[in-house]
Amino acid sequence: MFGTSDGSRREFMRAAVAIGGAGALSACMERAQEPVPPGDRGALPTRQYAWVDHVPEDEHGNFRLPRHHVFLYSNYEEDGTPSADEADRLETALRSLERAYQWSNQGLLFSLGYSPSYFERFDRSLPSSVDLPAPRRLSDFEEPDLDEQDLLLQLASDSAEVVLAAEEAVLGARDEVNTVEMEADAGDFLTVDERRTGFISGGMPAEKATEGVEGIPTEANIPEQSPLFMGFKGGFADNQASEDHIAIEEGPFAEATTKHVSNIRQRLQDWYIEQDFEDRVAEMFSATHAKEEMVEGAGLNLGDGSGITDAMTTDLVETANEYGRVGHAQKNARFNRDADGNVILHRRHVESTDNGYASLHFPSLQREISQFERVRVGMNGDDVRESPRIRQRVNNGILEYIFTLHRGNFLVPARSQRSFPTPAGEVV
Amino acid sequence: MRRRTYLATVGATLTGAVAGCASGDDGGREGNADGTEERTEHDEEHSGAPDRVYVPEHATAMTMEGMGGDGDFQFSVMISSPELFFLVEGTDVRESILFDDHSVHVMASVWDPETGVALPETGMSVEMLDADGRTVTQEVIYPMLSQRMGFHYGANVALDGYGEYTARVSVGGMEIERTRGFADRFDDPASVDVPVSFTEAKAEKFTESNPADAGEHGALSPMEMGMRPTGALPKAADMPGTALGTTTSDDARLHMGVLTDTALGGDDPYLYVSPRTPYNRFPLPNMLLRAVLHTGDGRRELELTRRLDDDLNYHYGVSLPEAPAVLAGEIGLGIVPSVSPQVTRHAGYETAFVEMDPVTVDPSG
Repeated sequence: MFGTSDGSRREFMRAAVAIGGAGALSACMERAQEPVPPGDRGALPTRQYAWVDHVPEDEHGNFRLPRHHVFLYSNYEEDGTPSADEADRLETALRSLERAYQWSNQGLLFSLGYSPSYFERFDRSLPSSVDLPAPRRLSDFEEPDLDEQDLLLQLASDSAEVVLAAEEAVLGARDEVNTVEMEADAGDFLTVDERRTGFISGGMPAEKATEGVEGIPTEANIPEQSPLFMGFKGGFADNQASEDHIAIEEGPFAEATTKHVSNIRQRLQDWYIEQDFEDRVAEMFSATHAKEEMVEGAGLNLGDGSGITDAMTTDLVETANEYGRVGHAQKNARFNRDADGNVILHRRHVESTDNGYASLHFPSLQREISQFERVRVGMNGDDVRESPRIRQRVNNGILEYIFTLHRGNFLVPARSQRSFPTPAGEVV
Repeated sequence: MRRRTYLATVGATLTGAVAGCASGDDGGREGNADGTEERTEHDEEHSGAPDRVYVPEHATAMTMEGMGGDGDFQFSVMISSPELFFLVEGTDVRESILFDDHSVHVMASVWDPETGVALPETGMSVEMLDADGRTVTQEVIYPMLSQRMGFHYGANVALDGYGEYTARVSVGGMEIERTRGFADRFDDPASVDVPVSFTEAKAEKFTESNPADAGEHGALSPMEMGMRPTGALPKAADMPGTALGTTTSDDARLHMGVLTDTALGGDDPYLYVSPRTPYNRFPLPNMLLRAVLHTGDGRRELELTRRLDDDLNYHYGVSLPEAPAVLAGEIGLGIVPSVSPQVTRHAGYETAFVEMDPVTVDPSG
């Protein structure tokens, strides 16, 4: 099954990350091809989510996320609040990782976020400059499990062995990473409640990962260049908030951001079988995109933007009555700009085959969780359903094909506050 | 692919004035067979189907797998053999695609346990889990009209062979306007697990029979299965308010009436249209209806809103200050179906309610 070609090697690495553990790690290390660049703690950005300047761009200026992602939804094991000693051990462990790996896609990018449940451990509440409500359902038709673990550690790298080794090391199962000694670990007080994995791009087309995965029909003809199961590129630079625009501006958590992460199961039978390419373009982008043949293949020809114009975002009920469909991008564009015209959300979604099901891990970073909620509620198309041709989940963008399984909200503090912050922004 | 290209033009000359009830409007004809659990099946050739509601070529048996309640909703799940149905997009009608691995047709119904009103315009999905709790399929399923099954939600699904399954049926909180007794109901999503037993013995019973009057204008009568409502609307004579009559457009029956002094119209009378299938009186959801008033001064056009009311049931309505003058015959009223019912059809319904002409209302009829 795993041959020597690049494609099968990448597929092996993807599967290894999904499985996890020491066995998977050693198998990856045997196959590792290039040395991983070591880290330089003097060169680290303040923001944990400062990734864009540390990953490559494509020819259109869209940033490319690292290939492999591990999401560790974890709990602090004790009641009450972590001790200063535990905070120190956590910070020491993270600094060891930073010394071991370059802060880049070739090394390791990671961030630690804290949930509202975590902050409830403290007597005082978060300042008003932080908007971090508990997660909740964001449509009338979803019943997600709410992720209320204390924290989320996301690890990302182009190298499978790096995310696997970092995971093992931070939890105390490994003393050394990339020849750097781990000076501490968090294994005594952090427990992983849910381990989820994802992958994207970097020459890893989604089509390679579909074998034996529930949710994608064998007949699906996913374009070779598509990084996503739905067959189109996403995350156009023109439609991404800058890291400056998602940074909290003031208060004790200045330079932090909020992170909403959903896990969305994809059921693409009808997407690929009942619909033709033109239908898919109309539901992903707009009917105009379909009629005017604006999208070729996976949509790389669109460059750095999705091609949504103001005209495509007005009179959607009329459009729906005429064409019988409204596009996902078309609906969302109406809500994803602030008063000054800046894009609000910064999306970093990756594909997943966890447990054998096709799904999407969808982190969205923004200044306030409420901003995400407004855009997501807009995606429901409540106003567009005035047209009888648009149903709650049918002909309504891509809602027919996605099922939200999890939602969680986290605060991603500045690097200096990342190890067990208090609601006042100090480290315990 | 079958394409029908007619588009009802908004503001076209009002034609086809028909008032009163068509004969047989409220009576279904009896099923062909022995009165056991049966249901219509599509005629694959489909040539020569009459351009209106007709008796389909086949009827197939099905089984009730179970029921369950959650929140404001009551559910049932039935299965039968996979079958073709017809998807409607605007005025295009196209056959669904059958695959070799389709095992069963899953039919879910959802209704209000208090009134027995079947609920259209919900977002329904079904997840089938195997005995180990693994998801075998999960998809949004479509609202459908079937002469024997009534109004329901259905899909053909691929199971992993014979065995015991769980159908996890989920409905979204309703989003169309609900009024009066239904105002605060059906807001939240709900779901139930119903055990489904798909056995070889059962599959062998999904046999077809052939109605004697297949292909003729008419309809099989709906099948009663326990508590499950067929979705039939009240007879025109039993609808509330002052009747404006019942007209026909592409074989749809549009019953119209006026209510006064209700919360629906506010300070004004309320015009409602209750479109239904002939014979079985199933609701015709997801239309766009406009009312056109012809006064001495000219013409006024109003869009009707899709609503669910505990007395009127599923209907289309609008406040209409001119209602007394309409009832007196001083102002002409027409109804323009700008979008025909965007609901999936089983055989027998796919040629009707697609190319709907505007109608005029004759309150004296």
